[in-house]
Amino acid sequence: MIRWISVFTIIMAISAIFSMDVFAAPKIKVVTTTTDLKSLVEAIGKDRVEVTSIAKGYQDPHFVEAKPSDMIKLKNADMFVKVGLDLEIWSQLLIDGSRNEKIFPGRVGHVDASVGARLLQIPEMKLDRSMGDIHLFGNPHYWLNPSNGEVILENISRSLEQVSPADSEYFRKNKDEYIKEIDNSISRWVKDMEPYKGTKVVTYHNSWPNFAEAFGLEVVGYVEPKPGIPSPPTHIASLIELIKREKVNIIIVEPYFSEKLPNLIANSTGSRVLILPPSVGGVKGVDTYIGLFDYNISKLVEALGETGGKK
Amino acid sequence: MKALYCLFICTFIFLPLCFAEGDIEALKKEVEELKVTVEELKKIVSSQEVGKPTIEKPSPIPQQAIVEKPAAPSRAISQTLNPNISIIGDFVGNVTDEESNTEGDRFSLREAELGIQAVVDPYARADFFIGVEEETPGEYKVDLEEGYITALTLPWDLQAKAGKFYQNFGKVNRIHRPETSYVDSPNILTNYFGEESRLKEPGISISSLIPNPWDKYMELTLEILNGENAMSFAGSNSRAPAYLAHLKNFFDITEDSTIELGFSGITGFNDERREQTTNIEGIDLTFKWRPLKEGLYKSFQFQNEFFFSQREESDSGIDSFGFYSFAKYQLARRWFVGGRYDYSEFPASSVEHEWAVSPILEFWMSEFNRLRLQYKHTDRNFGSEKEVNEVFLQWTYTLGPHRPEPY
Repeated sequence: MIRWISVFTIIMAISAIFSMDVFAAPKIKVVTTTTDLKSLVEAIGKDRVEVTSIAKGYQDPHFVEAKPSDMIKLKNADMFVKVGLDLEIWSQLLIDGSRNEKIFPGRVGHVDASVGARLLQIPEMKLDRSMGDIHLFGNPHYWLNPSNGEVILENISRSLEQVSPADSEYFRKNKDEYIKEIDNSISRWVKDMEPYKGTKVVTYHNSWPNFAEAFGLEVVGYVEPKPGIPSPPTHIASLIELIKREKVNIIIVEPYFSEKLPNLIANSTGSRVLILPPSVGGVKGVDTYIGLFDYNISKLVEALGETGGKK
Repeated sequence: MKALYCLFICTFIFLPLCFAEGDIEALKKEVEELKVTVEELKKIVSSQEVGKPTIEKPSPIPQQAIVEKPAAPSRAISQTLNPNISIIGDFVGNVTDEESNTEGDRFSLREAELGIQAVVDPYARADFFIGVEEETPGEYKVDLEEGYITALTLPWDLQAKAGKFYQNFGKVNRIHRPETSYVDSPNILTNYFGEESRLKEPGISISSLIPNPWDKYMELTLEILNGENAMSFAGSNSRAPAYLAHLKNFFDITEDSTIELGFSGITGFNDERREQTTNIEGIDLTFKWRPLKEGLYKSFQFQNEFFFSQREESDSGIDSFGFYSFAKYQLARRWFVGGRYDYSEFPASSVEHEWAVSPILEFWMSEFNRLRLQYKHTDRNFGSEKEVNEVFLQWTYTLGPHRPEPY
């Protein structure tokens, strides 16, 4: 008799425990435009979020083709995060086709990560396309200054808390922890780059002003000065002259550009081509936002140490 | 008796546990909200404490959170409220050996198409395209190519369009001629939809994403349009609408390649007495490849469309069909090479047909400035000239925000 009662009691207790699981909240679905934003959302949301990035880290984020399958991802999303500043003009098609009001501009689920970030190169004069595919609102690669990463974290956290108020405490704790981790890392990175402060570099595309400002580099020229417009031979010739004159040792190239032209320039000038990813996932092994800077700083220090960058 | 009593007690202990889950969850939520309020209050109190030391953030990275933005914002704001205005110029020069072509070898600013697009309000967007076309040599006519409103926030994941728009039949019919990958239009579009090479009638359109267990993109569109297309339907004397359905299926094969398979059907009267029906069915199959890392430099597209037409006449019926097959390969960042094969019959003829082959070379000075060279050899089994050779040179250029091309 007692045995039956205990068995019955155990069964009821177990089912009570399992029934608690049924009431556990489903994961918050977040879609980001870039892998950097994905990494930052995951740092805050951890196991309570399910994040997809539309662009891959080794893809040029300006030229992403908005596919119908991406619309399905957005249809089911609770939150959408974008870099902003006209980097993702292609995302408007996706949002229009998503039929998901939660992520329309102006709603709680639509996050523009650039709010409050330190922006550089905001145009102050009349603009037209003679300058190539220009950005009207400032250079959009602002996530490459880790302090802006902290601003992005605040923007994401604020919206996540509105999408899921019950998890606010959890998100805030994770956000504060990651910001502390970034702060500690900043000390380390700045210290590593200190001996090379003021070093002049050339970059392929104008993706690096925020990174250069943060770590003391000076970008003196571009392989492709007008974004989206391949450079004419006259520009390449004057760039080679500039590199020789300013004693530039490093040409930074993003992984989605062809190395042919940078290699040609490097051979003519004795400088070195350095492939640095501007985004998480741009190179194998770079899987987090902090990891992105760890990789880039270590590669730079290695290259500058060998080529005798400014000490 | 004792056993029953124990069972009764256990049930009363455990059953409420399950139902109380809901209560516990509500309580938990309340506690969370109270915690949030306490945190806010703590912040308010601490901010009022004077002279409290804060931990210095490591320098020299600038810590300014808010940057004073210069004059640009007012421009930015005014730009935000203005609609997106763009204009495409379509300049064509052609030489032909077709004797019966009265226009001969000439240049033409074939079309200037003005696009005005914006969000109307939180619920809808509107798109207008006004074309100024050279109808006959030296004479231009203004035409409303498209003018429609799209409702974006309907229930059940529906979207609706109303106005005049290019019908969702097949794949190419929705694309404006200056934005296609060829100078001319595929023969089936011209032969079945008329000289304008597009089915573009006023009407309404409703589309829905069909839920499926594989979460694949399946879009069903239903349209009711005027049956006034002169080539396949009743022309301007039409007294009844036509009905269209299109099912678009989209698959990602790998992260670099995709396939789209579409099925279209349209039915309408081809006479004003509403006694004779024309049905046209379409199948479209498109394969696209673009390796993500080298995406600026390489891509490939293979696109095919088939039209099947059944036209009732007073005493008989005419069945006809046609197709095109188009391939385009990106050689380098700004160079593309492609070719198209056309075979087409005619909706109102059971004997006439033609085929054509067109190699195409394309060069982009930039995304906004494109040059194209196309040679077209056409072979017909009717008319005084069975073979025609043409060479086209096209230069298209765009001003204004570059609206993203649909995939």
